[in-house]
Amino acid sequence: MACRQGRIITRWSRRSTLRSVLISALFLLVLQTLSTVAHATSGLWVVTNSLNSVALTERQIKTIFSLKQKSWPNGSPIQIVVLPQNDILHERFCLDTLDLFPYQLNRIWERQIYTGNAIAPIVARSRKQLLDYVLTHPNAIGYIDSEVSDDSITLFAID
Amino acid sequence: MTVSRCLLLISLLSLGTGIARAEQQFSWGGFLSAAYLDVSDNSFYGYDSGDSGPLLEAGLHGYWYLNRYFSVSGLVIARESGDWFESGLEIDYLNLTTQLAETESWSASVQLGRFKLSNGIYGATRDIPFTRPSIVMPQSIYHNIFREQNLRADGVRFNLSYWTESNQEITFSASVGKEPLDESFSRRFFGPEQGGEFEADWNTSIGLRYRPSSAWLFGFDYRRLKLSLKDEIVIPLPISETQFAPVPVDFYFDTDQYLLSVQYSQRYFEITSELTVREGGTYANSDSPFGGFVTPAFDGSTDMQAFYLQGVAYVHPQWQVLLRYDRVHFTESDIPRNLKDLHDVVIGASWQPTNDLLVRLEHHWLTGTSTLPPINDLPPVSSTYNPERHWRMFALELSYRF
Repeated sequence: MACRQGRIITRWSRRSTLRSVLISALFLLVLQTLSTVAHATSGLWVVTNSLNSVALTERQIKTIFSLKQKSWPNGSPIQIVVLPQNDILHERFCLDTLDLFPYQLNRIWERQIYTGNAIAPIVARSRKQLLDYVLTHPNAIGYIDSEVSDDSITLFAID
Repeated sequence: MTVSRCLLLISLLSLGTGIARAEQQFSWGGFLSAAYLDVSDNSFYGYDSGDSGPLLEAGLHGYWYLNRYFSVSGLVIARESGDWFESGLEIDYLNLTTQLAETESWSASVQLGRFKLSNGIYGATRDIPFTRPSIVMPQSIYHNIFREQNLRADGVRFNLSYWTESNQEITFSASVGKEPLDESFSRRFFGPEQGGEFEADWNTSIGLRYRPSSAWLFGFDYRRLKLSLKDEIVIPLPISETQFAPVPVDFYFDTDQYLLSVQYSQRYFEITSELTVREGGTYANSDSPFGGFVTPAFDGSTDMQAFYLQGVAYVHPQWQVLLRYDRVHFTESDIPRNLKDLHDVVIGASWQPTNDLLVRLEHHWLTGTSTLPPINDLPPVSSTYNPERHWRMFALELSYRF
């Protein structure tokens, strides 16, 4: 578990087995005792594919989802996947994480896309489709509102 | 290829879209839009095509990420928007972008080829139905007569962005390029009978944006625009009761434009205002010995002050209501009253039932005919094209993006 730059952010990968759940619970308990890491109280996680092993700061998350940072450290293009603009989770993510209203984020995207400056975000139809996309695309980044136990993804809890 | 075939092709492409259309290093998408403009009087929409008519637009964009330093991107647009404009396909932009630097706090890039000009809050994306605030843009800043000239140029553009830990953002851009011009601009300038194509100089533009917080956005743009129409205008000068001497003239349009933008955004409403000051004029040269008798008629001022104030209420996640006052004012005193001013009061609403669909309607109450084509709409021609001081316009639009 890593904590970078103040508010940001806890990061972990978890196994989909009972053992890994228990180990993780114990791990969290130890951390709670040590009081070194803030709780993830927002119920929001940024999710990336574990093949693309990176640590993200809050600032990077903002610049990535605003289509300003366009490549991962290994040089591959960042592919954003989001829910529809009217989805309540998308709205929460915009307001709580990016500090933007959904219509503002949409306008920033359109401006970047229609001036030839960025890859267009993928709009998933459901949370499951969003997660499936991240699971199958190493360069993808998205967000979810529930913890997922899978080796193939990395979660960044938004505090 | 006709506009209808272009629209059909883009429609078929849109059927094949879905979550798989951005695979790794290439992404593409687009939009389809159909609107109808119902204009009570004057030739805002067209001259032979009638005062009112359909506005059909479709676009297909692509972005190819070559590596972290280079990308290629383009947008092709098909339009049918009355006979003041050419119908068919146009390349909105097509360029090679070189990413000079990209860090956690700033990025710098250079675009080479056809690029979008920095022009106010909505200028770069005025053709994108989901991005513009209304079907018909505020004519004070985004005149229809100068649509292409304010959209794009062929040359080079430099972009620099800086953002702070607290999410403030500063963006700077500078460009040098020639605006692509077709014959329709000559018609919009001198009337339907005028042929030939204007040619742009290597014009410069500078844009600055500052977003101190999510609530505020400030912008400043400067543009130099110099255009010329050579070897296409011949004035028959009477030299006797029965004889005329043809006097060819080269015509020039030369302006500097300054644009200030401010936008205040909240969750349920947004207020936007943009103000522009334009200085410059028109003139003509002629090699003819009779040129001195003709060219003074082309001397004119393009000095203008214009602004709009717009409020948008986000009354529901799917519903927006728009209210806007738009004003154009040419400062030269000898311009006829109707051509000197344009006031436009707009009320509109939009409904976006899904992420991909948008329905929009709006009504304009207009006074004056300034900025309507043709630009040199002087008597007696003005009584033909734009005779009415008070006129109205209703517009309805359905848009789909993929």
